[in-house]
Amino acid sequence: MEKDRVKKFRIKRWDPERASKPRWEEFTVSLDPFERLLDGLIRIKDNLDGSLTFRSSCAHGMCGSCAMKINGKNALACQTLAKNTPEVVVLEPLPAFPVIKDLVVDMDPFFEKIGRIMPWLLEDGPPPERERTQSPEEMKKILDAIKCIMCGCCTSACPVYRAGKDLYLGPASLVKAARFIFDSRDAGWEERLEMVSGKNGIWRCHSIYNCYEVCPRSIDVTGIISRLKRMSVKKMLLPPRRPG
Amino acid sequence: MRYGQKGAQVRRRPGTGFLAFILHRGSGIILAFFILPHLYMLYFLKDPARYEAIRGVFINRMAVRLAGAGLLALVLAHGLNGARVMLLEAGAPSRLQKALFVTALIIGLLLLAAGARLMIAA
Ligand code: FES
Repeated sequence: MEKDRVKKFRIKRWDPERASKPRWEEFTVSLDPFERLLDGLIRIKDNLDGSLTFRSSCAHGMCGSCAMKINGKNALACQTLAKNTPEVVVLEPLPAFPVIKDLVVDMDPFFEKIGRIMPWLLEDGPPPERERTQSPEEMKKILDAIKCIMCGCCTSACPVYRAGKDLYLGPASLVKAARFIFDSRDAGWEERLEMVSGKNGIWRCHSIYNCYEVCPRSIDVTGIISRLKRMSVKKMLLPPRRPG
Repeated sequence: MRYGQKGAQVRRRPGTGFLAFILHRGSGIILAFFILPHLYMLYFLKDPARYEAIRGVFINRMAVRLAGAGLLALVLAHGLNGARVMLLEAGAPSRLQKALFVTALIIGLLLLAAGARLMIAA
């Protein structure tokens, strides 16, 4: 192994069905500077310890399944290049979610909250004969929010979510809500806005910006939540109007 | 990206936004505890002699004057941070959040230095 390519992967491992608490295990692998941490994990699983458990699918930062805590910061293993990490790479499962095994967490509570904001287009008339069109200007209003791959990095990094997991919808759900509220084709914006303006929605966000800092898709998560806050106040003070 | 390592676990240094939030919350809670006795003095302490006696205790001791400067620091921390959050929530770009925190910090320290000087000299 070439010395400058050697990485130590220090991984927090836990099988809650077999052990009462997690343990740390170290693996040494060789990685090219432009290989990703996911490549290292796959190498460990293939050659050193087949029982190591992690999720991955697209390997290109599109599916969100390889989200984990990398050296203290939530990120995607398939998007983190070896050259951008120190010699010792510390990997932990995403915080705030129950661990299933090693780096795999139970995302059900996360998707349950996404489900609450009704993540589908709501219509008020008969379906059109062809597709529902949108002008480029209208699309620009949701361009940032539609980049979300629902990896959970933002929600898991949010201290408010961690403090009240069962209550707060969390940043990812709010971004998903904004994606529909600001979509010119959606007829359910008022209903949705009312829902996220409730006691477990936007007003629990304290503009801490952790979500903004960790988002692997560089979405302005906190900015989008602030936009929802402004919309909610406007709706209270002015006659209802499609948000701009 | 910032990295720091300690033993097996790595704790990222808290971000600016989190520090600002803690400062805002902490100063708010301490201010709330200060405001209660303050309101009591203003509204219910009707006897002028007693009022003056208590006021005398507060105004004359240096330690209390320094505590007054501490109070000013709390008011500035809370007020300026509140203004920062309001600006951001009103639409200031998220990328400015750190710069706004640093600006609030500098303005706060300047105002604190000027105010504390006046208070201690008074
Ligand atoms: S494997 Fe799909 S985002 Fe990393």
